[in-house]
Amino acid sequence: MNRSVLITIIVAVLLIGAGGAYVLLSSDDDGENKTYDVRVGYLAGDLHQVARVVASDDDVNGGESLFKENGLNISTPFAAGYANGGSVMDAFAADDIDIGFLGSPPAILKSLNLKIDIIIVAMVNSEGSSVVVKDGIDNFTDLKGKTIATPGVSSIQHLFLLELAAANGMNVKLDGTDGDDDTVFYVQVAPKDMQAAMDTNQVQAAIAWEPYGSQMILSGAGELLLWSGDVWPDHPCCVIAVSRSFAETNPDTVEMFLKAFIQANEMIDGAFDAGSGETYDRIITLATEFSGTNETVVLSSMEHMDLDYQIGDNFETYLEDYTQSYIDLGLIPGSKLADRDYANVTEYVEDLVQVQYLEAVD
Amino acid sequence: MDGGMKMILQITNLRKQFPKENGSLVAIDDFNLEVEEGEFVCILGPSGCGKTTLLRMIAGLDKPTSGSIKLKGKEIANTGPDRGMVFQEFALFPWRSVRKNIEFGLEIKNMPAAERHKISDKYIELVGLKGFEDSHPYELSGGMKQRVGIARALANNPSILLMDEPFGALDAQTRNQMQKELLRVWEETRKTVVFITHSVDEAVFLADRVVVLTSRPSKIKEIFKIEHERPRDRADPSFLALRKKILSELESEANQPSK
Amino acid sequence: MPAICFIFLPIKYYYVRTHDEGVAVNKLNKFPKMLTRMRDGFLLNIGFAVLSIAIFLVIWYGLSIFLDTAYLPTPVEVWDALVDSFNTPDPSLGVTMWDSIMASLKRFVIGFVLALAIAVPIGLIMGFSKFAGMIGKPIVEVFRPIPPIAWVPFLFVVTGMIWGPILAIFIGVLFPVLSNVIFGVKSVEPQLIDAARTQGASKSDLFAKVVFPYTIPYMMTGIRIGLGIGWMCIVAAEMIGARGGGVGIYILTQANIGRYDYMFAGMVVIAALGLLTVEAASYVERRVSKWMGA
Repeated sequence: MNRSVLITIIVAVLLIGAGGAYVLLSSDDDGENKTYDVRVGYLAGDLHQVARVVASDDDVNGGESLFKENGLNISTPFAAGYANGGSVMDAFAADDIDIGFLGSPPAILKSLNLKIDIIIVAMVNSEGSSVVVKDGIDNFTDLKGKTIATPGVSSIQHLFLLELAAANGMNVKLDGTDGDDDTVFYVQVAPKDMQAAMDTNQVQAAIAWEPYGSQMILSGAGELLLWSGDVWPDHPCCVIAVSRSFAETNPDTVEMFLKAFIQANEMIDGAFDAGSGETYDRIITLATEFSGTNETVVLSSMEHMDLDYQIGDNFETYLEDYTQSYIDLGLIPGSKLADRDYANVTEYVEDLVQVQYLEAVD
Repeated sequence: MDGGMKMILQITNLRKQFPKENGSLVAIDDFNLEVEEGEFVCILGPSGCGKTTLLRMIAGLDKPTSGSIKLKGKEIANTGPDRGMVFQEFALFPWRSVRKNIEFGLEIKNMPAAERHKISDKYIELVGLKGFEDSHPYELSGGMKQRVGIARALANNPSILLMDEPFGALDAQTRNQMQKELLRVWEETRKTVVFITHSVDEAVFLADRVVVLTSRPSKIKEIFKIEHERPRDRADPSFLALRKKILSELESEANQPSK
Repeated sequence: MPAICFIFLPIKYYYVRTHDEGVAVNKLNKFPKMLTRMRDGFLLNIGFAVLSIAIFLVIWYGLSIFLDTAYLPTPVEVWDALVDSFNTPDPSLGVTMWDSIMASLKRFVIGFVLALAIAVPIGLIMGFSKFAGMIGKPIVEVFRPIPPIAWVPFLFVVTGMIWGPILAIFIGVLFPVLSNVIFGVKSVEPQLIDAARTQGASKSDLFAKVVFPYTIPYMMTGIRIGLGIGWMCIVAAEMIGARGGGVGIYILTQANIGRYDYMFAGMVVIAALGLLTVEAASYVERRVSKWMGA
């Protein structure tokens, strides 16, 4: 009995040792194809982030996804997608994710208000938000006394609404409260529910990200009043944010991630330039499935947003404007800059936007 | 009391049995009693006999299994304001003031408020509750609560007052005082009273006639006529002798196992 | 702060009540004694309340300093935010905390009154009529264990932004009141029914003059329990969406933009409102049960 136990133990030790040695040796052998583990968060059904979907798909790249091809081992702690950018920031704070796709305004809001240390390494899209209105509203000022649906106060769409109202001498208040003659009322509605809110006349206007703006227009729930690009040409919308500590310890991972993301953007550009083909069809399928809409809506959306990863000249200017607006509106207390040892908005944005990762791979 | 007086309550061949798990329980059997108008009758019996059941049947709260109960010659079919009842545990409506408790039956009759007020004033005065009209039962002592109970029963001007061990929940001193008060009220109103008690002393002190019951099933064992002048002296030797006699009757009954 | 006085008022009366359960034959004679007791009990209670809150604040303060995270502001920061929220309109909502409180309260009162208007008659009927009780009880027993908050998403989709939160409170208050009223009807002392019958009361008299008043303290118990649940429901419901704002929306909005000091200020307001209404209800409940001689 004792002998057989001894033999079993020896065999077990040998097997485990051999297995361990194999793993160690094989990873040494395979230095070229190193894997990078990364946890990613993103918004639910936001077509702005379609390049991320394309980079994750195996079929569109003929077998292995662009992320995998670049050695990235992606995990998604919340696969259904976060409801808004604020929640993506919370996921950063909770250390659930290393890389997040979200609108630049919520990234600014929460990184300052809650001291969540993130950096922005690339843009995802510019423009691509729309104000959709019921019949009879022809100007923004016609919205006085009306109710508009927004995805939430931390969204870029809400900031857009606040800026538009200020530019038109109007004020914004929560729906159902007492306003004056110049008040436009808002109510928070998830973008996927905005069409229903318009159809049932609970709101007379809505401001959403794509594809929901196009969906409302194409379904006849409302008419287009304006695109965000009409007012803010080339304004940055969604960005890729990375936890600063993760980026500093894993620069390779961030770079490989950006590489795959750039390839996905190029793939989409190529496919849409061609206008047909296997890749094109697959991208359309992915986009409709991801956003829960149809091909017509997706095509309209693609036309009205600019998928662009590059951090251009006016990128930081716009981010400074967003930050300053939030401070002026009172959503970010002025003391928050000083709390983080920034002298002014420019200094903060310079520290927030880190282009070296993109430059390394682009 | 005299032969010339009018008969008000006639109970004939009364029987009451309750269904039980195995068979039935006979509470009262072969019970016959007549009560004259203005008479004060005490019904005395060992605890657990059918005293309360008897009173509830007169009130109409319980139905006899067989036999008849007639009030002023009319068979009793249901409860009615012509029989006022006073309960051992007072049974006052706790959310009503003294006055509102007393006016309960008058409200049921839809009597106008002013008229109700006049009647309740009269009975509040009669039972000595002046100054407590607006008090609630929780503010009153036990004796005062029962004064309200008596006033409430009388306010309906019933033909007969049914009292179910009304002073059983009171301490001895209050009890003696309440007995005197009751006699005063009785002498003023000359109501017929059927009074249930298990206290021989109380029965002898109050009643014109004391009806001693057997243990279950209850029948009449003996009826004692008490002819002592009121107010009665509890220390009087003849009072004590009578008390002793009734007590021994009762004890011989109580010592017997229930049948 | 008059609001603070309101919070402690019921505690004061509580002490009057607990020392005053004996039979008050002459109310006037007891008065000076009552005052002394009221003062002692009041001060003692205030002392413990202050001590308890002070301990809590110290722990909170220490924790917020130790953790040093923007997610847990210090009590001082929350107090500043609280004061500011009452004085200046919120930059996101465009209204002050007063407006948010009024919006929540309005919703609360409508849902609450609606629940009473339905639970009380149904409870009385289910308690009084054997048939109605046997038909109704299984339905109530099936629905009662469902947490009212679980209804919120459904109510919001089906009834919209106005009625969703109101109905959430309605459900929260409905069941405690309903079960307590049924229980109250079943608890009516048979002696009182007998007494009323010997006074000539008909069945409808019994219902109106005995059964209904008897159940009022039970109703109050149900209301007190329901109020506590009601505040949980309203915050949950408002967070899903409500027209006209409310403290729930206030909290959610502050969380969304990361103003956690203001978010905690909203939570303090909910705590105060809950305490205020439940204490007020307990006070009424105690008064009613005293009036009932319980």
